[in-house]
Amino acid sequence: MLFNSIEFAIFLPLIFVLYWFIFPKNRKAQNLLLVGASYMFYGWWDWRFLGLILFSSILDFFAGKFIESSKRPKLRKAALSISLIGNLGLLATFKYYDFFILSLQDSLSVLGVAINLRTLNLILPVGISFYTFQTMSYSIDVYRRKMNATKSLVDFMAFVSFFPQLVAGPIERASSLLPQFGRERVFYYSNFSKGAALILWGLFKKIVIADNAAIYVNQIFDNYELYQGITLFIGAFLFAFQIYCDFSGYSDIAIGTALLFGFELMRNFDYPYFSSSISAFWRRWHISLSSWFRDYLYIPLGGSRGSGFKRQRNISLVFIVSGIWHGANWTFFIWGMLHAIYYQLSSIRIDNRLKRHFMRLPQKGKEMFGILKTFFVVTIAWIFFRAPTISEALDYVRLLFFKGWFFDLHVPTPKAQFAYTIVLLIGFIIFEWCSRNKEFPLELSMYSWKVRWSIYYIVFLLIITFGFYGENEFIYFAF
Amino acid sequence: MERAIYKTLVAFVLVAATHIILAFLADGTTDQYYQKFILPNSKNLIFGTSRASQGLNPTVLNECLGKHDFQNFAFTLLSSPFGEVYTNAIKNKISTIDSGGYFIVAVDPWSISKWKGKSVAMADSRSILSEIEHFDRKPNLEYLWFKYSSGWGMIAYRKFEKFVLKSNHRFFNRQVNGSFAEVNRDGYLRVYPSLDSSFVALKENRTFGEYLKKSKEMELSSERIESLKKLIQLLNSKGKVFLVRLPVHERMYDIEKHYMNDFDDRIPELLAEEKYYINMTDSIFEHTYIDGNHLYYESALDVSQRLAFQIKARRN
Repeated sequence: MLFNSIEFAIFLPLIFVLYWFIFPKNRKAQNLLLVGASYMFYGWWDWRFLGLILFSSILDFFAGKFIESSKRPKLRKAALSISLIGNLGLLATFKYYDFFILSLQDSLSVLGVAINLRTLNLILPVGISFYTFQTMSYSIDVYRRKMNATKSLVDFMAFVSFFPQLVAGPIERASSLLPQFGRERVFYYSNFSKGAALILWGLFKKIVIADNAAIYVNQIFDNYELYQGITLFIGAFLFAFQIYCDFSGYSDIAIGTALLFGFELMRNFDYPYFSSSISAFWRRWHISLSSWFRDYLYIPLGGSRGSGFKRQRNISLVFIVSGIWHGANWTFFIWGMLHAIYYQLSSIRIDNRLKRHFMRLPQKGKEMFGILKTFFVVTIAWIFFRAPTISEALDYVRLLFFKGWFFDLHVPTPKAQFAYTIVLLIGFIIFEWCSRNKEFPLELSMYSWKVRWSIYYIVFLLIITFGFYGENEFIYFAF
Repeated sequence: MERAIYKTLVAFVLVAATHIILAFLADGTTDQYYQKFILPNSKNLIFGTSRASQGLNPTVLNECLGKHDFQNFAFTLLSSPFGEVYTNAIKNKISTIDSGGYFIVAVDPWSISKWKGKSVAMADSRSILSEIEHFDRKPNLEYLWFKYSSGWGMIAYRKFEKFVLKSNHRFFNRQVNGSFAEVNRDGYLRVYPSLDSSFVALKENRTFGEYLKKSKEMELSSERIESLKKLIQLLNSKGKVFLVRLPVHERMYDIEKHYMNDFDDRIPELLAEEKYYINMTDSIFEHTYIDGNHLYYESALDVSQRLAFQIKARRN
């Protein structure tokens, strides 16, 4: 079920009413309802893959119990390994098996060895990368004695399958979300209004900005060889905002929906395109994944301890794994590599005349320069994320820089829609910039109800006027 | 909780009221179909695909034939080729008529064809007319709910956009290669195209390429012929029926001749009298086309006038 669908518009109020009015003070029944609703939400797409969520839930529930109760370190480690192998095995089978087999075949054929290995051609289950990471965090945290294993299977199943964030995150930590299923729910109006505002803003980002941008992004990326540099730059620029609004829009709706049921999810985006450095960008983009990798990969690898080389190695590894996490394609590997390079370069201290001149700039100027520079390099990396192959991405970048940059803008069609997409996007950037110190732009509690409702109404009008009503899937469903 | 329920109800009322107001604003600027779904039933109707939708002007026919309520109920090749879906829509449209109607049915080789290996029913399920039962309600909520592909706010936006574009269409069409369209109150689809010759040539080449491809991938459909025959019978019981073949660009005409050489022999066989088939392709060189397939506005007026005179001459 998609958040931007009629089905969800019926499903959400129905579950909400059942949750608060039919089982208002029965925590167990509420959790059971959430499990049922979540399985229905996921099964709407393909019920056959519910088995994978069930498998992951049961595996980690019992692994957690065993890890906690076992006194012998070897047995604890074995139970953790089973949990990790089970979850990573699911990912390897459904997401990466064919990719590695085909890559191996290609590599061997370059060496003159022809082999023909069978591929599985499996459908990628929606959200598998998200819920497997979420359940793994539970087993690891129990192993590290950072939290106690839960005693309730229903609570744990609700934690793994919680429908607002099941298919595209935020990837919640068990230590943060799981205890919330153990508490009595209290309805707070502030949560309700904040949740509704987040849903409205998320929908705006998704169906107004991301889906309109997608029309031109697809046109430009699919026929990039026909366009001039400036049009290609616009294509990359639009993709940067398409992916941001698509993914952060999903996160906003997820966080808002969870709030309606009394749950707090972690913030996933913090105006990342206003970051003045790559390190700041990664503290503000897909925060739940970045912090997951920090806690469960970077720090266990040694983090920033040890020699400079080790630190750089650890950082590069995290970026590359993060790239591959997004998809089984070398383009994601290159995207991760590029960010690793950016990160390494940003940590090199330069001291020359140019830098000294730069240091004399006023603080605002330096910040603005940093933001534009960071946005530019991030946008270039997005080309590799969007292009279907590395050679096409390289070609796109080459044409972007060297093919007729000035006075040769070819506006894709429909032109009127292109014009209002750009106007809306500029308006959106300005609105986000003015709101960058708030948790999200529609957080308007400091204003009178007249101002608040007027702004909500304007956003609603923009959604029903410029929104794309074709049930476009969210990009991150594919990861 | 009471506060949340109260605020939700207020929001719901606001959302519903906004949508109702927007529905009342919908008209010929909304999209290229909506206006045809809100016109009251009429005795004098034009049927066919986009060629007729843009090529036959009811106002001209009214003036020349002394009528006052001609309506254009032609859609597109995708939505109104001859078949069960279009016939049912026409049945609804003429359900209140007993006799004395004038029905102009525009025919061409494509509207009696189907995609090779694909069923007519499957193709027609994608028609804008499928599953719609009412064609004379204003506002037509059935259409807006099931068929309108944008949010309803777009109704107001399009109204504003068309106003600006229409007031400056010569400037826009000169500056920006493109076109826009609006459906008149009588159902006629008025297109405001760019006059740039290179743009027209580009569109023509695209159309010819597209139809050359169609000529290889489509074939005559006995099911569509049968539907056309039944439609003629139905219309005959309520008035006079004229089948008309509209002029197209010579290259398009060549493609059609190559695709269905016996079209002009086949069509009159469906009629009781041959004189009710009006073939206007002998004047193809006298008109201007916006893309090789559709008549330019001034040419459409001219063709409509010529057709009216031919009808006048043949009706008795």
